[in-house]
Amino acid sequence: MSSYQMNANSGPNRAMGTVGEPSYMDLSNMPVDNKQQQTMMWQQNQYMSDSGIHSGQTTQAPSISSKSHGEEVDEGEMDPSKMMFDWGLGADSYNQEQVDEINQQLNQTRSQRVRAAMFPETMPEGVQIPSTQIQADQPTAVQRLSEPSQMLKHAVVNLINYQDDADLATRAIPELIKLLNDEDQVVVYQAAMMVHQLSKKEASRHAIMNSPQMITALIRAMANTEDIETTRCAAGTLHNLSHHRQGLLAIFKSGGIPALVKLLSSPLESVLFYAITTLHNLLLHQEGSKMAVRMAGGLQKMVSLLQRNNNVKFLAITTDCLQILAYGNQESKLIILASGGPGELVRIMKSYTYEKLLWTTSRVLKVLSVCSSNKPAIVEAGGMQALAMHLGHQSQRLVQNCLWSLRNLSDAATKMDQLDHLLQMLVQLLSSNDINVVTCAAGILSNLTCNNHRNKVMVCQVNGIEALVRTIMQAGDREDITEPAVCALRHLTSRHPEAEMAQNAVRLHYGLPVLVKLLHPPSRWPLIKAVVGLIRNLALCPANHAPLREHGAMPRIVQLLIRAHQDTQRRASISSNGPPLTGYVDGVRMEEIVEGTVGALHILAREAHNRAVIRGLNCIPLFVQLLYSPIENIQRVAAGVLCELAADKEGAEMIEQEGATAPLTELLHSRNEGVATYAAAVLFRMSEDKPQDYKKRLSMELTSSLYRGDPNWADPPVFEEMTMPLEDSRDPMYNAQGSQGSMYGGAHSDMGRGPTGYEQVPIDSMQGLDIGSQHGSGYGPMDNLPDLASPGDINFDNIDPALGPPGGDNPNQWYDTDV
Amino acid sequence: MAGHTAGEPLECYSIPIVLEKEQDIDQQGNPVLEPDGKQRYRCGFRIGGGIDQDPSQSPQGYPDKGVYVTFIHDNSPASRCGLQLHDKILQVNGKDFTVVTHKQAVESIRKKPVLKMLVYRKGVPQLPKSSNQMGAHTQFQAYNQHVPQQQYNAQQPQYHQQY
Repeated sequence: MSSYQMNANSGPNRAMGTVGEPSYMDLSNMPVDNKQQQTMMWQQNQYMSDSGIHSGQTTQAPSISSKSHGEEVDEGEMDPSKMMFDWGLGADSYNQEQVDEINQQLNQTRSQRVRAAMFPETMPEGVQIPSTQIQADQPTAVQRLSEPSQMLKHAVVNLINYQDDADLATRAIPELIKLLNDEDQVVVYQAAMMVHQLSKKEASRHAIMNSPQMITALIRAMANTEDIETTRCAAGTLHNLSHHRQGLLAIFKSGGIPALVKLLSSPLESVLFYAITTLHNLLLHQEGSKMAVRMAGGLQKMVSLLQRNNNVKFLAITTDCLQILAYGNQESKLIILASGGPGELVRIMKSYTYEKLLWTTSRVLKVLSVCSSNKPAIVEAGGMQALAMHLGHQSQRLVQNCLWSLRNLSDAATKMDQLDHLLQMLVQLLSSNDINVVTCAAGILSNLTCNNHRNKVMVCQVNGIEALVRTIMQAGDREDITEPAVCALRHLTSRHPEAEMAQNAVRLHYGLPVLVKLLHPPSRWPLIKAVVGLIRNLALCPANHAPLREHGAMPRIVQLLIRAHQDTQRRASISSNGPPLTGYVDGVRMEEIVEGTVGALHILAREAHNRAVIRGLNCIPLFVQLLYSPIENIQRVAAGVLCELAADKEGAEMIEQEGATAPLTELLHSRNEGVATYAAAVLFRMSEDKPQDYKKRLSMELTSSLYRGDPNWADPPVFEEMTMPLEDSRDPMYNAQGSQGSMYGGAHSDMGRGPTGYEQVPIDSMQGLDIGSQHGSGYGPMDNLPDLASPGDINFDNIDPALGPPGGDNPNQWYDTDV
Repeated sequence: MAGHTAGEPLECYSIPIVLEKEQDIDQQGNPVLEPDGKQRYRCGFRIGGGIDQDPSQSPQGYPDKGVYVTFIHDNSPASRCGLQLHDKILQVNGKDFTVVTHKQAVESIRKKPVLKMLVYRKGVPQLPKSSNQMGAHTQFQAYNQHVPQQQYNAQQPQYHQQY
C-alpha cells in the first residue's frame, strides 16, 4: 500500500517532512565544525514545516502504483481500526483508549524514526524508538527510504561544501596571484603553499583552473624561484590540476610545458615526480603537448632520467612518456638514439621485474625497433637477449610486445651470437595457442636462421624442425604462419653441419605430404616460392627422393613452372612495343618461380625414377627453351637439369632431338661460369655415342671456350680427361668442378699467374653451381635465395650478402663499353 | 650521393635528359647494320661500371658501383643532348640503373631508339631534409628509389601503424 503522498515536484521535502514537534536535537552535542552545524540547521528547518502527512486521514498516493502488499502497514494513513485489524493482534485485545494511546505514541516518535533513518549520525546513543515494523521481512516505508534519503543528504552536504569552497577560492585567488608575483620569496612560498592546499579540493581547484592568470603566476613562480619548497608546492598544484581537462588546457596554454621539462633536472625527488606525472598527463590527453615537449628538449632529459633513477613507478611513467613521444615520429626516435636511449632501455629490461615497467619499456623498444638507425644500436646493446628473458612471463601483453620487437629487430641480428636461449624459447613458443605469438615466433626464427649457421645448428638441436613441421600442419592455410615457417625450414635444410639431419627430420616428422599440399591453391606465390625452395633442399637428401615422388611433387612443380613461364612470355610479347612490364604478382616475379622450380627439378633429377617422371612430363622442350632466357640464373638451372637428364641415354637423345646443341654451344661462351660448365657437361654427355673424331673436336672446342679468358696456359688438359662420374655419384657437377678447380690451381702454379686471376677464393670457380642467386644477375638485389644448399661445407660468410660475387667474371676488371 | 651502396635507399636531385639516337653510318656514309640486318643506332658515349665491376679499378676513380659516363664522342647525340662526362646514370626509360650489371646496362641502353634518362651530376645541390620539398619546377627533380627487398625478409609489423 502506498507510503507517503508523493507529488512530483515536492518529493524530497515531502519525504522528509514530518511533524512539527519540538526538535530533539541538542546543538551542543554537535561537532564544532561549521558545516555540520549548518547542516543541522537545515535539517531542523525542515522539521518545522508541516507537510500535512500527520493528519491521520487516509490519503491515496496517486503516483504510486497500488498493486500492493496488502499487509504492509504504514504510518499515519490508516484508519486506526484498520490498523488494528492488520496487526492481527486480535481486535478484542485493545479498547479504543489503548489504541488512541498507541497511536499518539507512534505519532510522537515518528519524527524520531525519520530522523534516525536519514541522519543516523545525529541520534544519541542508546535511544529506543518504537518501531512500526510488523513483520521482519517487510520493511516499512521509512526503512525503505532510508538509504536513498541518506544519499540525497550527502549530495546536498557536498553541494553546500562545494559552494563554500568555490566562494572562498574566487575571493582569494586575485589576492594569491598578487602574492605569487611578490618580490619577497617568503611571501611567494606562503602563497604557493596556500594555492597547493586549495588545489587539493575540488571546488577551489576548479576556481584555480579557470583563472589563467593564476596558472601563469604559478608557472612563473615555479620557474624563477630559487626556493625548492616553492617549486614543490607549485609543481604539486600543477599536478593536481593535470587530472582535469581544463587544467591540462590551462597549463598547456600558459606555457607550462617548458617549465615542467626544466623541472626534470631537479634534485628533489618529489618535484621530479610531480613534473613527470604532470607531463605524462599532458602527453596523454592534451593536444599539442607532444610537439611542445619535443621542442623543449624533453626527450633528452627523459632518457637521462632513466639512468639516474631506481624507482620503478617513476621509470614506468618516464618510459611511457618516451613511448608516446616516439610513436610515429622519426625525429624523436633519432633523438632518443643520440641520447643513449637503447642502452638504457635494454638495461632496464635486464634489471627489473616490475611488470608494468617491463611492459612500457618493451613498448618503447618496439617503437624504436622499426627505425633503421635504432635497430643496430638496440641489437648491439644486447636487446635481443634482454627481450628474450621475458618470453616466458605470464603477462601476455609483455610477451607479445617483446615478440614484436624481436621480430622487427631480427633482420639486423643475423650476425649475433649468444642467441641460444632466445632460439630455444622461440621453438617452445611455436606451440602456443595464441596465433600472434606463433606468427611472430616463426618470423623471428626465419630471419635468425638466415645465413647464420650457428643459429641453424642450435635450432636443429632443440628440435626446431619437429616444432616447425607441426606448426605448418596446424596452421592450415594461414599463410602468415606457414610462409615464415617454411622459410625457416628452408634455411635449416642447407649449408650447415646439421643440414642433412634436418632434411631427414622433415621427412621423419611427416612433413612431406603437407609441404606438397602447400604447392596447391589457396597458397599464394610467396608461399609457393618458399615451398619450392624447401623441396629443392629436401631433395638433396636421397632418402627424400622417393617420398617426394610418391606425393606427387614433380607434376605440380612442372605445372607451376609452365604457368610462370607462360606469364613471362606473355609479358615479354606485350612489352616489346611499350615500356617493360615489371611483372610482380603478389610481390613475386614469375622469373623467380621459373628459376626456383627448375632448380628443384634439377636436384630431384639426381634420382633415376624421378628423371623418368620428368621426362614423362614432357619438360625437356621447355628446358631447352629456357636456355634462351636472358636471365643467367635461369640459363644455369636449365643447363643444370639438362645435365642431370642427359645422364640417361633416353634423356640425352631427347635433349638432342629438341635442338639443344645450338643454344648450349652459345652458352659455352657465357660469362657465368656455372652456365658454361653445365653447358659443357651436357654437350659432353650428349656426345657419348658419337664417333671418336667428333668427340675429339668437341672436347677441343669445349676446353678452348672454357679457358677463353686465360692467355697464359700452354697445354690445357683435354676436357675428356676430366673425370665426370655419372649417376652413381651424388654430385657429379661438384666433382667435375672440383677437378676444374684443381686445373685452375694447376694452371696457377704452372704458369705463375699474377695477382689478376682467380686467386681470391674458391668461390669464383664454384659460384655458378647451386649457390642460388648470390650473384647479381638478372634481377637486382638478392631476395631470400642465398640459402639454396651446396652440399659441400662452403663458407659463404665472407660474401657481401647484398651483392654476392660478381657475375662470373674477373672482379678486378673494370671496363667501359661504347653504346 | 657519392659512394652510394647499391641496394640502399637513395634520394637525390637528378637531371632529366632525353637522348635521341642517330643512325650509325660508316665512313662512306653507308648505314651500319646489326648482325640481324636491323639498322644500328648510336648514342655516342661510353659507359663504365655496374655492380659486377670493381670501381677501385676504374681509372676515373668512381666512388661506387653505379653506371657512369666515361666518354662522350664529339658531334654525337650524347654531346648534343646535355649529357656530360662523369654523369652517373640513375635511370633509363624507367629502368633503375643503380643496381645493374654492366651487361644489363649496355643492353638496356641499346634497346630503344630514344633514351629518357635521369642522371646525377656532382655539384648538384643536396636534397633538403624534408622529403616534401620538391624542386619540380626547376631543372631538377627529386629521384626516389624504393627500398629493394632485403635479403632476409625484414619483418615489419602490420598491426600497429608505422610512422
